[in-house]
Amino acid sequence: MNNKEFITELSNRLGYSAKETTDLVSSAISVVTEQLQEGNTVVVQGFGTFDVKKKIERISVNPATKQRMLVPPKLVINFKPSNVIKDKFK
Amino acid sequence: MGERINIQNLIDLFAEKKGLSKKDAETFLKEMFALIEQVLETDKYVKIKGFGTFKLIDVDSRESVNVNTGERIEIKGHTKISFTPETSIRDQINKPFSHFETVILNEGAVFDDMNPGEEDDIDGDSESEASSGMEEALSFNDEVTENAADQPTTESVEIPNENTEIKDEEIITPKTDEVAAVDELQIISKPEDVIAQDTEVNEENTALSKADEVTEVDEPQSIPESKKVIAQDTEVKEEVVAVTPKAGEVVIANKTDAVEDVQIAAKPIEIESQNPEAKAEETTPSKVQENEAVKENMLINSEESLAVIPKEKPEDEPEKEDIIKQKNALIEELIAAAKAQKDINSVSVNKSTIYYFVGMVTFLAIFAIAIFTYIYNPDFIMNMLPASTEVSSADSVMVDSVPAKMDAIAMADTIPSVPQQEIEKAVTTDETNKIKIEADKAEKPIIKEQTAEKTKSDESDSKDKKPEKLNPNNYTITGTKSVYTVQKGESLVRISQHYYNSKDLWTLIVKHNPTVITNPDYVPAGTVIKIPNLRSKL
Repeated sequence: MNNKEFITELSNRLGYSAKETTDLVSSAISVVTEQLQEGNTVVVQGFGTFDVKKKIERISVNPATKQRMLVPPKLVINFKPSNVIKDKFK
Repeated sequence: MGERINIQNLIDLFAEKKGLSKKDAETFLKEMFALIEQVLETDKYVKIKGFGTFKLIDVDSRESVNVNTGERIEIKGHTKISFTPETSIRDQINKPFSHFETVILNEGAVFDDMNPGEEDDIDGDSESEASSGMEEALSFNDEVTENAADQPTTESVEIPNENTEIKDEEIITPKTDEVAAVDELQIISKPEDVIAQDTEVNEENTALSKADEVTEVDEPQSIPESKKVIAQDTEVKEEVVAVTPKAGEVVIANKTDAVEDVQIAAKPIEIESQNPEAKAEETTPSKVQENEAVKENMLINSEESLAVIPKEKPEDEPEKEDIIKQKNALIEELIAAAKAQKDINSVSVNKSTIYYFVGMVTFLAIFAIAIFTYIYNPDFIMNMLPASTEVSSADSVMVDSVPAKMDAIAMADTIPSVPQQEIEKAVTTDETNKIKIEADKAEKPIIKEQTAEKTKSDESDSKDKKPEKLNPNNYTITGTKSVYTVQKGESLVRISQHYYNSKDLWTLIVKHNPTVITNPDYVPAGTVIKIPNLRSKL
């Protein structure tokens, strides 16, 4: 399901217009993102946990050219589904 | 930072942001996540703009081993939920590290930060060495000599070779009159590079300062002796006595001497551990402190080395034999001391250093024997000389050079040739340089004594057929004496030697055969030449 379908489905369920729904979804996401940016872990009961992990720098080799590259450290979002949802999809 | 934001906090924040009631916010958020879950169940794929993609991924069943029991277990195939954040949100999260960029590494790039273990190891070694040095420096002398030896080597390693040469010449020249005793001692001591040069310097000191130092020297001897009592074992003490002059002389002698001696003293250690130690001295502050301590101790050692001088002094007086024997004994002592020092200082004795010592000892022995034979049985060597001259004259056209010198060179070449092979196995280029120097040294006294010998024995040793030195300009050609066919391997010099008992008259043969000999440097075998009859103008 793509974003458009998702928005329409959500608007149908809640009675908001599609435009309102898009706005609300994006602001909800921005709230989550803000929390993640501050280094907090966002736990959504029954769904999963969003948190930020630091990946350390590493050397990667381009297998074609054999060129070695130093990949810098970076922060990535990590999503860990809750046990409830995991069991559901098992 | 690090807080856990649950759905309730999220609702509060969301409501605040959008101005919604908490209830609306709660229903919205809960509905949103519930919808994601539902859609995943049906479509296995949800894409939310500005956030990312949730996906269900099928995982095949696979076999695995229970880590605790070692049993084989099968992990059944299942689906897992993956979340791939969108680039925009990813960048936003990675903002703190966004300034980093992927760097393409050049070949041979060293990762000091990637494998810090090596550096730590080096530091650890040098530090432990430094600390052990500190400990031993408490009872000083022993470790001090090593450090004192190492310190100047880092400053100037290259210079000494030239200096040794110059110095050796200086040593030889003032003693030309005495020829016999002192010169021979030096010749003997020379091959023994590591220690002998030290003794040489000692000899120099003794020769120059003869008797006047004895009284002065006795006092400082007692002082360091008492200091050394602090050092534990008596054996160790003896070694220290033997070893300290190396470092001690550094202070007495002028700079060049110091560098030279120090280099020699440092040699065994230098080979294996000079670099790390040198580094350590430059970097670690503890070493710097130690170096200061070393300087102080060097002053003390200088006194001790003065104390050593009178010990050697009386050795100059007795007969040659005794001197040589004592010299050898002393050198062996010093070798033993140096070996012992090496054992103490560095647990892992390099094999090359052992070869070095063995080579040196054999070289010394051979050299001593050669000198003995030369002193007591000069005829033997004199008999050997014409053979070597013929060899050298056969293949070389060095006609102008003095025959005596050629002999000397030939002899000097033959003597060190045997030990050279041995030494070359173990020793670096420095040593080969030294051998050359030794060869030069060996050459000089021989020339000297040979010229003296010549004046004496020119008439008496007529059977030796010593080649005469003749000036071709003093002779005129008076007809042909005989006709000669040049044999293979013969030169005009040799023919001249054969007919006139002088190598120098070959030019007259050329003069007499202008048609046959076009190129004096190349007279092919089978050429028939006329041997001129000569008459002296004088």
